Amino acid sequence: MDRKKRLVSGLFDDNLRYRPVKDSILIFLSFLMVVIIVLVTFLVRPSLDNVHVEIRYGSTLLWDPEDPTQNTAISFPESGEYTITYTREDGAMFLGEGQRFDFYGEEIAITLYADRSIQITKEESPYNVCSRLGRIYDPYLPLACLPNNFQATIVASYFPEWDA
Amino acid sequence: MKTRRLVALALLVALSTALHYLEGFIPMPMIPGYHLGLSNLVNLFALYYYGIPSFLIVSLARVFLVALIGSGFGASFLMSLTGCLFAILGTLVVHKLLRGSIFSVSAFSALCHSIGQLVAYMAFFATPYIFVYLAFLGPISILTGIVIAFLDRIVVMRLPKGFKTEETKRRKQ
Repeated sequence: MDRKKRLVSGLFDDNLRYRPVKDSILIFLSFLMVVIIVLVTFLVRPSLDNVHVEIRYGSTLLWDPEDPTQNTAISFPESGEYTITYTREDGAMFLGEGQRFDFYGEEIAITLYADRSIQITKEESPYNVCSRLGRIYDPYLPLACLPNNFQATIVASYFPEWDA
Repeated sequence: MKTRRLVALALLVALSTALHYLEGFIPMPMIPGYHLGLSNLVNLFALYYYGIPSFLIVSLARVFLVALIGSGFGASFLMSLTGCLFAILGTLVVHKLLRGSIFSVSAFSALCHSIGQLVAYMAFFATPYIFVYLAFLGPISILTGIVIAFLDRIVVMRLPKGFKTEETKRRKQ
């Protein structure tokens, strides 16, 4: 009986027991890692001068459906706000003949503001998670609507080329 | 691999997949993209009960099974797989190299899972500033990992003694 208990306790209990010093240090290091990563991300932020907006469906760059020049570098309005709306049928314009956008609801609206912020103002994802993200002001902080496969990003003119 | 072990791993993979879908029904509106990681309960159980090879099989098989059943092999699969690989790496580092307990293993692997998903997002959408989101996701992932470790500990400790002894004997052979 004692041998059985020793076998069991030796194999399982040692790794399952909380070790105050070692575990506390490791968990503290985890938090520290988070702080360092976030800090580094903030420190290398690009400048806010000369920014434009890029909107993607998956990896496909989109333009304003009402823009005849099909410019994918979408500028902010000089004053007020400007809303770009994509319907399912607009998919043919970007993805090819006979294709449609595949997202929840009938349309998605992304609003650009004169203060260089963007917001998803109309969508129908589960729990409306995309609309709850609010306004994004920072460059390269993506305004992502993953359930609908849409993403809008403020792109700064100055940023070093990043290779994956 | 013995039949008994194979069947046990298959059941664990099924359980992990079921828990993954179950947590999808629990809304987390405050932090988009965050989920409880209940399937990690099963992964940790496999690690501490059956060992590292079984842990690897259960972790990776769940990702592929979820992709096969529902989500497909798109962006979400890529994020899930990268998160899983980062979590496996973090788990092995803390478990094998640093010899941490289940609590630090779970906390660190939860954080690595979040980092892995953000890395995949960064590669997919070419936006490195998604890491700012780690300020919200990181701490809550670590805390969730600790809770998962606590629950897992209860499960492993509560197994019938006869069942544990039998497995121990088999491992010693």
